[in-house]
Amino acid sequence: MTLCKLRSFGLTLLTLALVPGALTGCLPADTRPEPGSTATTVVGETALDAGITTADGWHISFDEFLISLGEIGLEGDDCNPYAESDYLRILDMRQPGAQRLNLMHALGTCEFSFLFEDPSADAVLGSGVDEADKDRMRTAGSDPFVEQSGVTLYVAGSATRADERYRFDWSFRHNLEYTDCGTVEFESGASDEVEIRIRGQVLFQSELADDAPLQFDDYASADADADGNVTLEELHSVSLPAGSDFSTLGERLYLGLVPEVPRFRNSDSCVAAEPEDDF
Amino acid sequence: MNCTRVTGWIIALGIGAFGRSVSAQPTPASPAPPTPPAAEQPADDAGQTRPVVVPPRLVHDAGVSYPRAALQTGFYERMEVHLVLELNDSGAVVSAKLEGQAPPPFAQEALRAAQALQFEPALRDGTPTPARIRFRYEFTPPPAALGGRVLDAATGEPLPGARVLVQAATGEQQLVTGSDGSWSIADVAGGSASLRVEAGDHVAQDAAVELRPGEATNVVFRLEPSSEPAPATDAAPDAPIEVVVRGEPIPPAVASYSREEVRRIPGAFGDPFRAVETLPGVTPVASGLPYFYIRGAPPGNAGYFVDGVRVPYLYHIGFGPSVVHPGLVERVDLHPGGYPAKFGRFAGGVVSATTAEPEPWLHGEGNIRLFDVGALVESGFADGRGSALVGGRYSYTAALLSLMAPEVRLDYRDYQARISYDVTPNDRISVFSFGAYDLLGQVKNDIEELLYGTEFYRADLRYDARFHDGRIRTAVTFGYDRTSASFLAGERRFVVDRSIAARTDLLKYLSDNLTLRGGTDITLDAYDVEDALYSDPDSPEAESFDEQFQTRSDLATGAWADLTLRLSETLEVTPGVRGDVYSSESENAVGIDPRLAARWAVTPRLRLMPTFGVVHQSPSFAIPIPGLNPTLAGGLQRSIQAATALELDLTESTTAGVSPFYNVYSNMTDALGTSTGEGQPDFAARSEGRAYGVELFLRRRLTERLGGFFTYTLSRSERTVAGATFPSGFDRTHVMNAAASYNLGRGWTAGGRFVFYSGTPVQQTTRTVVVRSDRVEREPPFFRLDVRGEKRWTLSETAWIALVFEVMNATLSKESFGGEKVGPIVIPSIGAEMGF
Repeated sequence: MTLCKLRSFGLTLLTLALVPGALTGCLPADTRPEPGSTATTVVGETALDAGITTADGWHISFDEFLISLGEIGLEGDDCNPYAESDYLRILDMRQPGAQRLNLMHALGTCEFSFLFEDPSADAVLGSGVDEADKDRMRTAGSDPFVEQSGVTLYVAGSATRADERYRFDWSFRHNLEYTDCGTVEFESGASDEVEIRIRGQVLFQSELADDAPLQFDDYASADADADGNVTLEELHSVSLPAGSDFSTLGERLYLGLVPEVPRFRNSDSCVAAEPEDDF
Repeated sequence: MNCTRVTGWIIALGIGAFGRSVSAQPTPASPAPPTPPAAEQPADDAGQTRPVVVPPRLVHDAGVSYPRAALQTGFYERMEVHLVLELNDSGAVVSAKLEGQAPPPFAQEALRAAQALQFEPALRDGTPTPARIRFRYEFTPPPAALGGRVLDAATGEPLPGARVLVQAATGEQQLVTGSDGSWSIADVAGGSASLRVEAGDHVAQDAAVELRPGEATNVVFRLEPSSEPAPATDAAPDAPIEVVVRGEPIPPAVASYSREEVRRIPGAFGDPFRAVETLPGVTPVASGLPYFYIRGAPPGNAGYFVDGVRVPYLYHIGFGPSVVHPGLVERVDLHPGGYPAKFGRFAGGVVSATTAEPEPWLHGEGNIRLFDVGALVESGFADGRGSALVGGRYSYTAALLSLMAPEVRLDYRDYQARISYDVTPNDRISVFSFGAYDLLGQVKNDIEELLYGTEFYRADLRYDARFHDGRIRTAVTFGYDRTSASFLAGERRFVVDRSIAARTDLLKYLSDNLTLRGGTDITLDAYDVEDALYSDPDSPEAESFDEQFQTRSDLATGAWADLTLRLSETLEVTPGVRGDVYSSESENAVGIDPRLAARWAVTPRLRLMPTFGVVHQSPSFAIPIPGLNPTLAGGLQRSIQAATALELDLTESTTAGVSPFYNVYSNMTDALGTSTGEGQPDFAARSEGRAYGVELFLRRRLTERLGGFFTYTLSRSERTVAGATFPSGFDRTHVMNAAASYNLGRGWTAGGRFVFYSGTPVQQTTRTVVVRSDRVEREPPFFRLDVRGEKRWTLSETAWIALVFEVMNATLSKESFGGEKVGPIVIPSIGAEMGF
């Protein structure tokens, strides 16, 4: 075979080798329209860094107020998410101003949901939060209401009135998923912002109603061992009157008031329930 | 190569092709010199001077081989093939054509061999001149070898001095056994042979065997002692006679399937690659899914090769068929560990497929099923020197799904194309091009969302040369891999790998007892990772993805060699070594892999095959996905593999074996096996590990009337992370496959396969409490039954058509994951197959 024929033959072989690939078909290019974007921010309803004052004269100051939130869900038949946002962020709510929780891109009308859950190993640290805080919240523990779980909300501080002073150091381990929060519109090329409010003061409400007065007398009275430290166990040992929605002070705080802390777009439309296990 | 006998005849048709008219002249009695003296020229009756013509003289004939295809179909006849050759004035063959009729295998072999004939050119008045001649090849089947032993049935002791009478096509021969009871005949014609053994005070026995040319048949007689000297009788033997046919040896400790066997494995859908999951040592990730652990090594650590070309995956999306048409696959080998030095850079097992040799005559096969159609056609050209093949598979699942779930799109296809050309009888160039495409998506609100998409293409340009004491292969492979990694990156992002690789393999027989193999290879991968467009910039998932998978170029190069030493008739040892250098951006690593394998034929039926090897691998993703290869950060993975296989041929077609193994893994990237069950697995995490156990198998060729196999693996696979040792996430204590296939006659075949395996460890971890315990609960065990039925009609000697019905998981079994039952996942298949 001459050199010319050999070269021609070789080119023919190469072409035949590569052409079938083109004929088989390639993965489709991205033809989706430009999505809209929405940032979720978290802001304290009350400036927790300044503390709060109750109706019965106690001044509550916070040394720590850490909350773990995130895993925003966008669902619905009219919703096309363009990226997932499967992570939690630990936020220090004593930080002033709004803090970003996440940024989402999607198109259409999306039903919004989020998780209030103890942080995972890849949880992101918010402003003022360090690895020691994350480790503390990831340390499993048990209390009268939850077995062997990390911490979803960590609150520590003190209540003072005249010469009385009590300390509290509460780790809430209850995981909740907030669904049916309403819809968020994503328009192509447009940017928007939605807000989750953290209502720290509700921990000291005397009832679940939004307009219920803040108080600390009941909590102070629960200090059974008079060590100046009010624990969740002590609160759980104080019974509430018959006919109450909850059986103990601790139960009202843990199961009733804590779920009211996060609120989406200042509306109580979300339904809070225990999240389903991931498969 | 089968032994050859060739008889060539030259009959001069006439001299002076290409338009010249020449009168034939009697040739000289002896071969003429190239330039005979033209001193005197004879004159014809008219007184005119006639040219002196000397016909061409054959000077070199490499011979022909009796076609293997003919032997495999049981054809053992002598065959003559007549050719017409055109020679140039140098005596080389420029054209060879068939004269008359001949079966295609013989015609093609004769035409191929004729190209290498060398002649002294014809002479016309002393001047070399082109010529046209007739040439005849005679094919004689290679002889068979026959031998065996004569033993006492009661004691098993050899019987020396026993008389063995052999009546074969070549006539009758009489032998006497040696001191070890053995006897042998080296040169026997193929076909039927009858044997009779007489030994003094034992009952004589008769036997009939079918001798296959080119192969050795071993017959073991076990004679019953008689109470009195018994005269020779014609009574049929009662004691079993064992006949073993020795074919080509396979590498030690390798499990293999041939294409014909694979077609009959229920649940494999005729796919050689899918049949791999039935082999011992293979632990499925989930029923039907094409990912498995091999002796404790995760799916991402297994290497898949087709004719030495690395492929990123073997099966189409979900539960789809293999990416190479089964008709092209001659054989599939699973090397679970201790593999030859030519395999490297994969720390788990190696699945290696060998494609069928080119067959330069028109043939093909096709099939149509519920969800796809496939075909393969091959034919020859250039008088049999070349062959061209095209094949592929196309799924119409998209059309079917559009009827049931319009928003879902599932699509897969593959193609194969091969051209080979024998430049000379010993030199072949070929191009092998193949690729696959898979897509899973959905359309929602008129927006097409790509959930999972992947494709890969290969073009392998290859040169093979044979020489008298070996062979060499040199090849260059171009590759293109692409995947949409939305499931990993959190958004739709493409990762692309453009690769170019070169390899050389050499085999050289240094002596009868020494075989050297060696080679080099180099691979350049250019990875291109699409930037994130819509991911949250703070997303840990996106950040982790960007850390692991980066736009970069990687280079890996290796050299290897091993030496097979035949220390005796029954013992051979193969030490080897391999070295690889890895380079990725600023990271570099070196892996040195010693290997050692041995094969000891303890008895003619019992073999012991220990293997040992060290293997290094760059970091890998959990499952093999085109284009998704992590950087070198964190260093190489390493495994140390040791096993000993013991095989016993129970009968001619039944083999049993046991193989204990022990593997140690270090610096592994096994996200699936070490997952805590909380959130996304950490794909960059490293762990130590080990796997140990024992594999059992019992196998009777599935091409027998009744064929089947039984495989069982008892094993334990562990991982160690941060000092805590626990069972691997996919540790399954028991894995069993049992299958049987029965030829019911009249073209009907039926078969079933029972699959059973233990459940995986139950994750005891909560979001924040990581439980790593040696004592774990397990998911419930899983079992399923696959069934297969076929009715075949033979249309002619080579053409056939069949209806095939096959169901994977006919028992509708559900499998448990995370405490929940999933399924049942049932794959039915009804279709037609045909071949010609």
